[in-house]
Amino acid sequence: MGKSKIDFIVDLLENENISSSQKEKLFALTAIEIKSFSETELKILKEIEIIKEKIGLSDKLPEKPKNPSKPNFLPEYKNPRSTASFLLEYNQNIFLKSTTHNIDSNLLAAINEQLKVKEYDFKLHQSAIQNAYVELKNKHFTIKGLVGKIDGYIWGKVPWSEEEIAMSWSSNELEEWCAANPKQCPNPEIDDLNHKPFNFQKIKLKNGLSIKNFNELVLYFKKQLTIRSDNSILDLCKKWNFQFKEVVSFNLESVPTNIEFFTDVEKLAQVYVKTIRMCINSSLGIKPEIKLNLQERKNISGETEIVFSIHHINSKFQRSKESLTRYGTDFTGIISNQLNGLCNWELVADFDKDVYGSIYLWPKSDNFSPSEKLEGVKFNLIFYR
Amino acid sequence: MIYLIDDKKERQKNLGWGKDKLLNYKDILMPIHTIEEIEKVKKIMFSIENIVLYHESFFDNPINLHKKSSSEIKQDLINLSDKYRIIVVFFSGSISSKNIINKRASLPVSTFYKNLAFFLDSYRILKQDIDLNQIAFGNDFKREKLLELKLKIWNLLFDKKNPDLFVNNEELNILLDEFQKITSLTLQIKDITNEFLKFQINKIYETNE
Repeated sequence: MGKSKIDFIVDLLENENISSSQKEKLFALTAIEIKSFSETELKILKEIEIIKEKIGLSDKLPEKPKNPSKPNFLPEYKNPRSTASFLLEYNQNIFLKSTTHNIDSNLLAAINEQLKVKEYDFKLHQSAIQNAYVELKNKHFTIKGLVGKIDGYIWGKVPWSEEEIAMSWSSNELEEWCAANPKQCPNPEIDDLNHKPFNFQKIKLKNGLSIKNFNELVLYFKKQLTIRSDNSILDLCKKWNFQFKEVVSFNLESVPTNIEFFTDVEKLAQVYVKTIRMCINSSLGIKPEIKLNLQERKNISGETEIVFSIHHINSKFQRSKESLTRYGTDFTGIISNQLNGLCNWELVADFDKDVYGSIYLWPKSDNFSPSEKLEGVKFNLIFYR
Repeated sequence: MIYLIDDKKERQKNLGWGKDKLLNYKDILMPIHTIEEIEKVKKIMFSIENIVLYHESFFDNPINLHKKSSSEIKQDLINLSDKYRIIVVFFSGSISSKNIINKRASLPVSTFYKNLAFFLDSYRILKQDIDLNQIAFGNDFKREKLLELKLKIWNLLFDKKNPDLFVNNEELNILLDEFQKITSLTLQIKDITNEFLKFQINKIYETNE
């Protein structure tokens, strides 16, 4: 089904003069319309769900009263500072830390001390991890996808990450290994604790790499939460850019490896890929030149912001700044599905009619800051520590 | 002077760095286990003639609590290293790969302690001209680095669905770039078989031995 038809249906359903029951009838008609274009029933249902979610009638979400000051389809703003605090505390809590680090003799002693036991007991450790995580989730809001991932990693009820990994801190295989190897933790610092980790059947990742034991699993999980020198934005961008190597010209010279922060790395990858696709779609057949940058800056409150910029140099923002009172499906989709709670979003651009400046796309703002003449369209993803 | 900031004495001992071994290097190495010990030397520690070896979670330890978070302190250290060109080596049980950038290295804890003696012995001779590869890969670092890269490339090629035709992916691409950078040689990677890629790498590896 063409994108324009989805847009048309979304526009129709957006009309506040249409009641919920009329919208349900429209859904039935939409399904018939989609059926003639879609390949499988699954795809049809998926597309209807997307539309329902966009207009706030998804089964997954209760219908919320409309706030007339807010644009349609945009979710309630979630502050990315809360995600940063959540992840920082995750990495500091002694039990949760043991799910992102190999356990050495000092950490093992600290775990045993907290659990008031002389020797390591996996069941008690597992339960302490679960309790600490529940407590942390109750303390800080964080993004749905991230919670889902960590839930899967700790409780194992659903596969976690885009790789759909089934192995978790609650896997039967792990529990069996721990029962057969009492007093041994599954992810030891090998040379320190002098025993091997829990080995399992190799998990093959989409990029060709593999995970074959619990130490590797724990460190793989850690990389999903952390940007740092061994998992830098520069190295990640080189990987993410690979699929675009023939169609985009990238400049990575201004991407340092010395800025570290916690985030949901998979969500960041999704935002990045979607943004690059938006740049390609807006480039009208001209090979996009995209310059990437990562820097720290202080905001007006003196708070440190980490700004990851995706700058489409040979482009113009093809709409007026006034048109940003209402977002199209690209922006609403990226905000709802990836950005909200992950980072803030700023647009710095050469708008039409020789207007240059910046505006916050998320949280949505009407405050446009004019600037001197500038080149292209820059999307700033703003993170916090 | 080299400052070794690690709160984990038991781990140090189990990795072969008990009190006696540390004392063998007392002329060049100052072990630091607590925040109080840092306070005593912090004014002289961050200087270009010194080297700082830093356990990333030092300030997560409740006995070393600081008003700044451990991640903020680490970022400060990175910035100091870049600004004043001070050699800083970070190590942690959560780091899975070796990484060297400018005057900074980032290493798994076991690698760090395994190569520490080579590093200290070399420092006695080379001082600030020491190569950070020494602590990441040991004495014969060029050979070791190439060997590790070769192993990673072999592992990626091993499970390929089509064993004959070489298909580059993003992970392989980065490893092959790294291999070519280290050896300053160019690999032919278009329209070749896996076997021919391995042949090229083996040939280069043998030349570098």
